[in-house]
Parts: sequence; C-alpha cells; structure tokens
Amino acid sequence: MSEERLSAGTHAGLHLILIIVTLLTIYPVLWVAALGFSGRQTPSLADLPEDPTFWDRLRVMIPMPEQFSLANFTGVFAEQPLASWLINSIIVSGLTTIVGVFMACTAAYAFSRFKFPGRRSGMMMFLVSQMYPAHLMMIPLYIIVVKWLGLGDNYLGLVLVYSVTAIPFCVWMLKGYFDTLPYEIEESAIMDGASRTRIFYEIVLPLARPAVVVTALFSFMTAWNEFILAAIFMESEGAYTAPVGLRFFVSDYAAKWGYFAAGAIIVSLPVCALFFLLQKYLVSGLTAGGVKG
Amino acid sequence: MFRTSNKFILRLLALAALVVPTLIGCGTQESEQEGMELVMWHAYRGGERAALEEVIGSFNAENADRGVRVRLLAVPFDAYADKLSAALPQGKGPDLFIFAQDRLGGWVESGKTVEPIGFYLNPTDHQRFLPGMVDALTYRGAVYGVPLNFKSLALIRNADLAPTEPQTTDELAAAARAFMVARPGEFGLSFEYANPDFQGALFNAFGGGVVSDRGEAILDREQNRKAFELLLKWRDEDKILLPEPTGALVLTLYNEERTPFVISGPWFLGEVDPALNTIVSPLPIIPEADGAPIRPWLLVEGVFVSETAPSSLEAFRVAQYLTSPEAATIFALKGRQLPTIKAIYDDPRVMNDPILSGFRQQLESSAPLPNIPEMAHYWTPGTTAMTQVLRSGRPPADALAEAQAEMDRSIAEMRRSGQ
Amino acid sequence: MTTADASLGQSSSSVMRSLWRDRRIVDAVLGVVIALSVGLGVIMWTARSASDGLDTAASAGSAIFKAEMAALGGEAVQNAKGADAVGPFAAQYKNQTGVEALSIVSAPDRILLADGTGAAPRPLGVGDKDLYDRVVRLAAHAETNEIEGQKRKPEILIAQSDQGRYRASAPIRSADGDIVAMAEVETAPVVAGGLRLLLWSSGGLVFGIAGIVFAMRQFPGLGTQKARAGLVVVVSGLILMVIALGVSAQIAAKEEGVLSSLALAQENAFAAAEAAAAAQGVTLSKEPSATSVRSLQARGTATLFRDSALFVVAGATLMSLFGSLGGARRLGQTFVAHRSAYAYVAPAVLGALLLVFFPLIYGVLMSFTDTTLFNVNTPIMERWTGLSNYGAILGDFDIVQRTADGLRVDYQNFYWTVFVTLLWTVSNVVLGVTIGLGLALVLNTPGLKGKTVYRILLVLPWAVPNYITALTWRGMFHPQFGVINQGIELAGGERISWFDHFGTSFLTGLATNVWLSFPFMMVVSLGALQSINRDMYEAARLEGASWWQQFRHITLPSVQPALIPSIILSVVWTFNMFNVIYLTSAGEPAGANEILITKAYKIGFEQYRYGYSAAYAVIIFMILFVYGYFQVKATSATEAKG
Repeated sequence: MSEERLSAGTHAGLHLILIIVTLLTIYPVLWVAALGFSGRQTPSLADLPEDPTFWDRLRVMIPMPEQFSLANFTGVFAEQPLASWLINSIIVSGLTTIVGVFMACTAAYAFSRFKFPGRRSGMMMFLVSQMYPAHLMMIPLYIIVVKWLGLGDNYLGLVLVYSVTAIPFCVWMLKGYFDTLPYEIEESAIMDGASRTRIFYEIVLPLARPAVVVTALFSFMTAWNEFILAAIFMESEGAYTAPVGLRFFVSDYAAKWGYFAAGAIIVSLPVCALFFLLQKYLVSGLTAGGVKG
Repeated sequence: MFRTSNKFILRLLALAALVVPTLIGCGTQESEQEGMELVMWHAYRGGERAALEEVIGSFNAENADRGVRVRLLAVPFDAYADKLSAALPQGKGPDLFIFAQDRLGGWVESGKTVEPIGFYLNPTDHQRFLPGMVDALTYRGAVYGVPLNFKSLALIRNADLAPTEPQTTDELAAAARAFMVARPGEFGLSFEYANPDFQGALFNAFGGGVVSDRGEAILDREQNRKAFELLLKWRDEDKILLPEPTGALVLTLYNEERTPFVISGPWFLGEVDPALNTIVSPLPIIPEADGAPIRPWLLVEGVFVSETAPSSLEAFRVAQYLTSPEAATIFALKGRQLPTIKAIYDDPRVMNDPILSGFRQQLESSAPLPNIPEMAHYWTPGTTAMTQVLRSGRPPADALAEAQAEMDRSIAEMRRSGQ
Repeated sequence: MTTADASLGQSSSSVMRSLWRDRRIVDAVLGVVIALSVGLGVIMWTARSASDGLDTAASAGSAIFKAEMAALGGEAVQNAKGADAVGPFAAQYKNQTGVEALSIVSAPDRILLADGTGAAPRPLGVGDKDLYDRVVRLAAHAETNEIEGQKRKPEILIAQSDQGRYRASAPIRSADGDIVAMAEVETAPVVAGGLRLLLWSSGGLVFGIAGIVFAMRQFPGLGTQKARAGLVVVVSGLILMVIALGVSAQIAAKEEGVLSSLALAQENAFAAAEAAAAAQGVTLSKEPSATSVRSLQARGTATLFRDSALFVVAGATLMSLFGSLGGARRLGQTFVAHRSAYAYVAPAVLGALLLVFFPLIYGVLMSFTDTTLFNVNTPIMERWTGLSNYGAILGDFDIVQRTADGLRVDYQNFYWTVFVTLLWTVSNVVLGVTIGLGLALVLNTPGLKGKTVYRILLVLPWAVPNYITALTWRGMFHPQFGVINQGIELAGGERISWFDHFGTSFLTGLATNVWLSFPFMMVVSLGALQSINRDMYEAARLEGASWWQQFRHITLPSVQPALIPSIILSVVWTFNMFNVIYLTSAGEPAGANEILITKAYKIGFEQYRYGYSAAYAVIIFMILFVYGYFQVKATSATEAKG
C-alpha cells in the first residue's frame, strides 16, 4: 500500500478546514450547554450593554456562561419528574432496540439469502412505507394501537410503533451487509447438517456485528427522539417519556430557555454516549459494498 | 456474541417473561379501592399547577369517605389539544378537563366529546359567577363548562417609569413619547401587535370583529379598517411601537425597565421580575372610536365534563368545588389566576393586589372570544392579513377583503361537509 | 347423470385423491370457490345490512311519527288548555298508540308535563338530566339549521336505547316560536321480515362446486385451460346472478312493506293524537307531517342493493379466473415451498402491514371524503366526495395575483408549497451530500492524524434529537438575542429579521437541516470510500491523471452504488421533515415557508379538515413514490451499463 504522502503543507491545510468545520458543527451544542449552565432563562448568554464594543459582542457569542450555575439542572429535576421520564425513555428505547433488531435481522437475512417470490417487491415495500408522512398517521395509529389492540398507556404500543418505523432503513442496510458476507461459510455449515436457525444466530450475526450495532443504534434513536405519539398514547404522567417532558419547558408563551437547555443536554447525553461508544462500528456498518438495493 | 444459541434464547425468554408482564401491568391504573376515580387533565405549570394540586388534594380528603377521588394528569401545552382531539372521540380521554372556550363549538359539533352540564346549574349558581362567564361556556343554548378563571389582555405598566394611568389612547401615546424622549433608543409601548390575538382588541373597540353570532365572517368592515389604521399610526407616525415584537423581547425589555407600557395578559406576569413596581389597569379608551375602550378578547377557562365520565353529577360536583370561594382564594393568591366568582373580589387580599384588581377592572370592557367553530377559520387568514399590512404595506381594506373571502370560503366548505 | 352421481355419492378417499391429482379439476373448483365465496359473501353481507337498514327505518320511522304527533297534540293542548291538560292528553295518546313510554318535558321551568300516566306535572329530578339536555339539543339543532339555511342537523332526535327500544324526541314550540319543550316516545323495535340468506348462499355454493365437478368429469376432453376457465366464468356468473336477483327481489318486497307500514303508522299516530286532543276539547288542524316517509332512508334501498349486487357479481366472476387459470394453486405451492423464508420475513412484514399500511389505507379512504370535525362520526358513505379534494388541491392555480401594489404570491397555494418543498429537498440533499462527501474525502486522506477525534465530533449532530436541534437553532436565529445576528453585528452588518421574509426564513431551516443531515452522508461516504481499491489510484497517478480526473473517474463511480440508496432515503426523509420546519421557523412568514407536510398537519389539526389533509398526504406519497420509482430505475440502468 505504498502511496505518495501528501505534503505537510497540504495536511496542514486539510487540518485547518477540518478544524473550522468541526468548530462550526459543535458550536450549537456548546451553545446549548452554555445556556444550560448559565442559570438564566433567556436565550442570550450575556447581556449586551448599552453601547456594545467589538469585544462585548464577541463575548456574547462565545459559548461560555457569565457564571456557572447548576440552578437550571436542579430546577429541571425538581420541577418535573425528569428522572422517571428518563428511565421510561430508556425502557421504551431499549425494548424498541430489541424488537427492532430482531425484526430487521430476520427479515434482512431472508431477503439476502433466500430467493422467494415477492423478494424485490418486499424490499420496495419497505422503502415505500417510509414515504407516507408519519405525522399524519396519528389518528389512525391511535385507533389501531389504543382502540383495537388496547395497548394505550402501555409501553408495548409505543414499542411496536417505533420498531416498525425503524425497520425499513435497518432492513435495507442489513441486507446490503449480509450480501457482502461470503456464502461459502454457510454452505459448508449446511452441508455439515446445521439448521438454518443455528447458522443465523451463531455464524451470520456475529459476522455482521457492525451492521447489527448500527441497526440497534438507529432503533434506539428512533424511539428516544419521538415526541408526539408518546404524548398522545400515555395516560399517566409518570409514564411520559423524556421528550414529552421536555416540552413542558418550551410552552406557548414565555419559553424557559435555561430549563430547556438543561433538559436538552440531559436528554441528549445517553444517545451521544452510545454514539461515542459504538462509533467504530458506524463506518463499517454502513458500508461494505454499500447499502445496495 | 451468540455463541451458544440455545442458552441465549432461553435467557432472552426468561428476560421477556420478567419484563413483559411488568410492562403490561405498569401504566395501567389498578384502582384497588372501591368507589369512583375521576381523571382530570390540565396543562398548568408552576404556581397554577401547585394551586390546582392543593385544591384537588383537599377535595380528595373531604370526599374520601364517599369513595370519590380525582387523579390529575398534567399534559404539555403543545400536545394538549392534540391529545384531547385524539382521545375524546374514541372514548378514551379524561373524565374532566380544564380548557378555554375557544374550541368548544368544534367539540360540540363533532359530538361525543363534552357533556352539557346546564341542568345542574340553578339560578343561584348563575348568580355566583361574574356576568358573561357562564355565557362564554355556552354554545347554542347549552352550558358545557363551569367557569374556573378568566384571562384577557390589559395594560401593564411599570409605575416607576409611568406614574399616571392613561385614560385615553392619546394620553398613552403621549406618555410613551415622553418616555422615548427621556430615553432615546427605547420604545414606549411594547406588545405583540403582529399577533392576531392582540388584533381582536382593537377590532372590538371600533365596533368591528371577526365573526358574528351567526357564524358569518365580518372582517371586511370599515371598523376593522380603522383599527388597523390606528395601529399603523402608532407605529409609523407616533413611532412608539417596537419594530419587531416578540413575546420574549417584550418580556426582556420590561424586566430591564426599558419600556414602561406593555399590553399582555396574566401569563406575562408569571415571568415578570417581582421587584418591579407593576400595576395593571384597564386598557384606555380610544377617542377615534367615539370614546369606546379597547376591548380585548376574554378567555374563560372552564372545567369540562366529558361524555364518557362515569357520573356527570360527581364530575360536576368536582367542578363546583373548584369554584368555591375557598378554592378560588387559593387559585387567586397562589396561582395568580383570576377566579370567576363574584365573592372572591370582596376579599381585601385580592382587591388590594394591584395586578388582580387591574385585570378584574378590565373585565368590564372585554368581549368574550367567540366559541363557535367558525372562529377557527380566522387565525390563518387573519395572520396573513396582518403580515401583509404590517410588513408589506398593503392597504388594510384590501388585506381585510381577501381574508374575508378566504374565511367565507372555508366556512362554507365546512358547513357543506356536514350534510 | 348416473355415473357422476355415483362417484360423487361415494366420496371415498380414492375418488377424492384422484380428483385432487387432476389439476384441471382442482383449478376449476378453485375458480368456482373463489368466485362464489367472494360473491356470495359480499352479496349476503350487503343484503344483511340492507335488511337491517330497512328494519331500522321501520322502527325509527314509527317512533318518529308517534313522537311528532304527540308533540303536535301536546303543543295544541297546552296552548289552548294549559299545562294541566297535557297529562290526560298524553295518557290517552299513549294508550291508543301503544308506545312503551311517553314523556313531555318543558325546559325553562324544568317540569315534566306528562309521563303517560295522566299524573299532574312534576319538577324534573336529578335523574332526568338527559331529558332536559335533549330539549336543549332540539333547540340548538333548530337554531343551527336556521342560521346555516340548511337541514344539517336532525330536527327530531332518534336514538336506540340499550334495551333495543327506539326513542324519538320531537320539539314543541311556545307561542313565540321558540323550542321550549319536547315530546318523547319509546317504542319497541319493528322487525319487518327476514330474508332466507343462509339457505340461498349455502345452496349456491354446493350447487356450484358440484356442477363444475360434474361438468369436468362428464367432459374430460374439454379443450384448453382457457375454455375451462370460460366455463367456470359462465357457471359461477349464472349462479351468482340468479342468487343476486332472488335476494334483490326479497329486499324489494321488504322495502314495499316497510314504506306502506310507515305511511299507515303516520296516519294512525295522527288519528290517535286527534282523538286524544279532542277529548281535551282541542281540535287539531290536519297539517301534513313535517317528516316525509321518503326522508326516512328506506326508499331506494332495493335499487341500490340490486345495482351494487350486479357489480359484485361481475367482479367476483372475474376473480374466478385467478383460480381457474391456475393462479391460486400456484400461489399455494409457492407458499409451502418457501415457507421458511416467509417465516423469517413475517414479523417485519406483519408489523409494517398493521402499523404502516393500514393507516395508509385509512388515509387514502379518508382523502375521498370531506371529513371534518363535524362529520367524523357519520357513516363513511355519507361523507364520500370522490376526487373533489384532489380537484381542489391540484386545481388551484392562483399562485400569483396582481394587486394594486404589484404582484403578490399567495403563500397558501398548493403549488407554491410544492415549489418550496422541492427547493427545500433539493438544496438540503445537495448540500448534505456535498459537505458529507467532501468531509469524507478529507478524512479519508491517508496518514491524517486525529481522524477518530474529528469523526466523533462531526457525527454529533446526528446524535442530538432533532426537535432539540430545531428549537436550538430557532434560539440561535432569534432576531434580538440570537448569536447569529450578534455575529453579523460583530462583523459590522445589520441585524436580520430572519422570520420576516421568505428567503431568510428558508435559510434558517436550511442551515438547521443541513447541520443535522450531513453526518449521515459523511459516514456513508466514508464507508464507501474505504472500500475502494487504492491500486486504482496508484495506476491513475502513474498515468499522470490529476486529482480532479481521479475523482471523476474512479472515486465517483465507486461511491455511487453506496450513495444512491442513501440519497433516496435522504430525499424521502427531508421531504417529510416535519420537526425542523414546524419548530424552527413555524412556517413564517405567514405560511410562506411551509412544506407540504407541515401544511397538511395544519389543515388537519388546526382547521380540522381531516379529509382534505388526508388528500394532501396521499399527494405527498404519490410524489415520493414516483420519484423513488424513477430513481431506482435510473440507478439500475446505470449500474447495468457501468
């Protein structure tokens, strides 16, 4: 793999570009963090004096609060049961992950390995199912999940809906990944007399670990971030999930930006942490000959 | 990861066996005690919520021996209307809920939502409430809610910056200009004049309005045009208005003592710095409107009973309790709300409060927000008309005519569909 | 005849097996079974509901007339002789008409004027709330109808109680013409005669199958499969037609009976009221009934049934071809052959069917109606308007209007919203892909230090929940306090009112969405780039190709297969990105910045026009579907070439 190294000057230039872009990218996150730690409720990090100078203006833009204060964080936990909401979110998202991964892996494996009529249209169907605007399905989903299945005020209902929402993307991606796994391993296992199920669980899944991880992450995120259905289905306050609770702070009239920021940080942390832990799988999971159709 | 598949599957099943029943069980309220539990929804936060919880707490204590209790559920405001619209027609909503009157007409027309409770109100009950409160919750002759509190816009001023109460809009403009002369760069009158909620106040003052009692749009009227012209005069000639009014900006300016006059409602005061010397007074009269006062829309929050409540009588009793003088005192002093019963305003703690008494006085010249379904067709064309007049400089007459046409069209469509 | 009868009568296992193995017979039988079960099923179901409808009309009509006449008499008696005379009037009326219960209620003074026993008037008690409410509702309905100038609300209430009785409430007007009271009766339901449906349907099915088997056995050399299929069509068509016409005749007879019994009920009720009023010394003027027999939705049932039944016959007969041409049999075989594959796919497909396609079908059905808040509980056929919603949406060409002060754009117009949505989607995807691919190229440079750190940080926007992102950027674009404006002022410029003009408002959404979507593109591109064989670059470099040429001819074609599906997904997600538009700019100014999905949401949930909103949703779906279809076609075409 010999290759001419690019010059140090070019490297420096690339680093410069990367640094600028990275700073621009993480600026909003830092801004929210600063707001959360500022102890205030206005969306302004510092007050501009009457006649601001250049340095005054610059100070306002730097994402550092005037004084550090944990008031917003304590307030957020005290005013609402944020802790139990977070736990609810974890439960719902965790279950969605399990159910979603199970459904997506089995389906993608079948699409990849078996030739059966309806294979092509099945894949297209998953793509098509993403096209109908989900936000407008609220009322029929309510009727189906709460009235017909009786799963309102019960996490199973939400878990089902979230899993089904996350499946299409996961199936597409997993199938593409499965397609790149050489069939010979499974073939020899079949000839040795192993059942399909054993092959699936003991051979294929471990090999496809990166893609499975990405599927799990995606399912988790879909469930973690969803607001409107959780708000409509749940019937008791203790059962709300975190996004629903966060909306208490940004209400119709004066928005409490400080509480919102503190809550936003807390709600974003688990997903960000997961991303960091699993980031090495991200690239390999979404690749390998690609998310081919 | 999945080395021994059988053991793994077994473990997964065991986990599921533990978790799934918990899930199915959790969230559903198993009421072990006999008697009736009524579920009540609201969208209150902060002080209002604390007040409500205290009142319901005493209700539950007093009614424990009868086996009737109320369970509260707070819903985020953004999702509140959607949640009600989704749940009520399917028979799955609350037994009681607190809401303003603006959607009442729509709910009654769609059926299977709110229960009329006029039967339980006798003449003495009607007398308890301030005039106009029960009417606001009446649709086509039937009363649907027990009025709990009312809100409207009023004139909020910083008494340190503006010691005298302006009686007319000319005085208000003069005082605002005086302030701006003393403090150049600031603005004398701050309110969200681009918000259609605020526009109604001026329309009503000039004798115009949005919809008639019979549900016809009446936007395209001379009176409404004059209302717009007054607003434009304040902005362009007197120059006392903010160029970009937003709620957050108004709040900040007021709290920083950079503006003396604000037009807003009780919700505003929840965010105001208590150290300021704030006084609320009725909105002034408009000489151009033949001396009529500015008439803001009156919003009455009522306790509604849903059609699926197990006992409408018990639910009504809860509503009655919430409007008793003791409960009203808590709502007024702790929740900083304006109760609807007359008796509370004899209490010196309430009457001497400069904020509560100010809003109470404003009541005399406010007009109830129409609760008919046709009203819902105003907001989009109304906002468009306002934006056109204020930003694009379109003549008010044209903007109003177009908004009127739009409203007529969508109302006709709505009525046609009902056949 | 004899041999066939004998073989059928035996039904021994060997005969059945030989029948089963004969593919032609199996196909033919399947054809007949499909046609007959579908046809008979639908016909019988429709007949049952038509019959029930006639029963309901008979019962409801009877109750309505009795209530109406009670109200007529009660009003006359009260106005002439006072409240005390109403009780005796009601008692006599009740006896004569045989109703189960009768109440006359006055609302303003809350008095029960009559309960059918002749007792004196008494005040309403707590348990009488429903009576009071119904009087108020009658008054409300009359007022609504008068205001709107149409008979939208029923002027006589009819409902069925839990015990199956029919309860009708008719208004009584005071001297001023206001509705202040009502007369209410309860009657037992009327059954106007049953239909022998089960007999007909089972007979038809047996006869059909037997007939076909018989025909196949008798004429084994019956030519081609097409001829056999034709025979099946003829046989099942004939059978279904006979049955449909027979049932239709029964329904017609029932309808006649119901209509005449209703006319009779009307006369009898009036006679009873006349007599009871006369006993109190009041004469009733013979007014024609306000409610016509025609309006009770009985007339026309039989014709409607017959027309739809014939339609069903045609359809079901055609469906027989699916069986008789072998389709059904082959489907079954396929299913069995691939059952393990289907088992694997089942959970996901079932979930998608239930939770995605059912709501989709619900939405499509809703889009053909004019459902609003007013009529959400009425039966769906009454709300049917066909394609009028689509016509209204697609036919609105008034995008730009000429006014006194020049041209103005109507921001509520559908085509403007389509334009904005397309602009939104294209600009977002183009920017997202460019930035993502660009960053991936940079990060892919061999020997670059700190790759992991950069990658972690650059992926962050994807991790943050998107409604938090939307609200955060809204805060950053705040005209007064937002950092963006402060940055502009820092650079010496003027603050911009971001949400006051379409262009700037659009930019806010664009910035937000690009921020959130480029990480996905970046990661996908990175993956694709890493799978490219480096030797190709080596070879190209040796041949003297510039960086740009290498990019165009090696990099791009190699990443394309990976990027295209992601781009399709990204287009679909961006097209329907609700949160960013709704939360960041909220469509300011005045709806100019809305995209199709936010507009549909507002129409549905803020204006309560559910049907119209559903049509919008279906249009969104169709646009994306067409795009996806052509995109996939184009991609496979280039893949085949390249």
